[in-house]
Amino acid sequence: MAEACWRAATDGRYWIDVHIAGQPIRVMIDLGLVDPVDAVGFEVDPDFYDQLKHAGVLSRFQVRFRRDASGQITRSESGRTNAQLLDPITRRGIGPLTQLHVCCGAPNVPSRVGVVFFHRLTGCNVDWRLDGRTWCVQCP
Amino acid sequence: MDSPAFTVELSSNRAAYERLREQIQSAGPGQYAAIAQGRLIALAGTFDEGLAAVQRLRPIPKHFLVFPADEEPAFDVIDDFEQSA
Repeated sequence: MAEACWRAATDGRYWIDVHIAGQPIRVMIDLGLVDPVDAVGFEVDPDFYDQLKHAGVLSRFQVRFRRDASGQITRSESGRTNAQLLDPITRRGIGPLTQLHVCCGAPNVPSRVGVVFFHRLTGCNVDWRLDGRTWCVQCP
Repeated sequence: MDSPAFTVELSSNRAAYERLREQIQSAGPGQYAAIAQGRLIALAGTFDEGLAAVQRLRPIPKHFLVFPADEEPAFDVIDDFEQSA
């Protein structure tokens, strides 16, 4: 099994590296980002989303609504593309190439990866080592 | 956004989709459907054209759908708890 590990930042947040449509991006792990229809795996900075959209690498667009922790509902759009984990040391793809939706996030909110992406990593394991504060993914 | 009004409109749009499913799906690949106010607003060649058709409506709908005509729309709301940070 290949393994890639990321250490928690000093502020306690966990960031991992991924390729979205071939573009490298660092995204914060957000286990509160949950799409009940198992489609949206990422919510990204609006500038990055626009870059993907204008590059023509998003398809199957949908209007989506999201509910924040205060119960406020806001509208966004999403488009489907491919995504893959990126080994932080070798900078090579690791694990399966997934097809999922990327949602356009709000300004000044970090780009994030939600549980749907991890659910798509067929055959892989996530090992959250609490003592060492590392988030490791092992893939065949 | 006013959650009760949002829920009412969502239910109305869901009922519209169930009623119009065959008509929408027959539009075929490459088309986008826009549903709002409990009715089909547009079948458009692009997502942005479908979205623009909805945004011309008054009053502006609290809930609406724009989605590929040959695909099921996503009615469920995404939980996004970091968003309020």
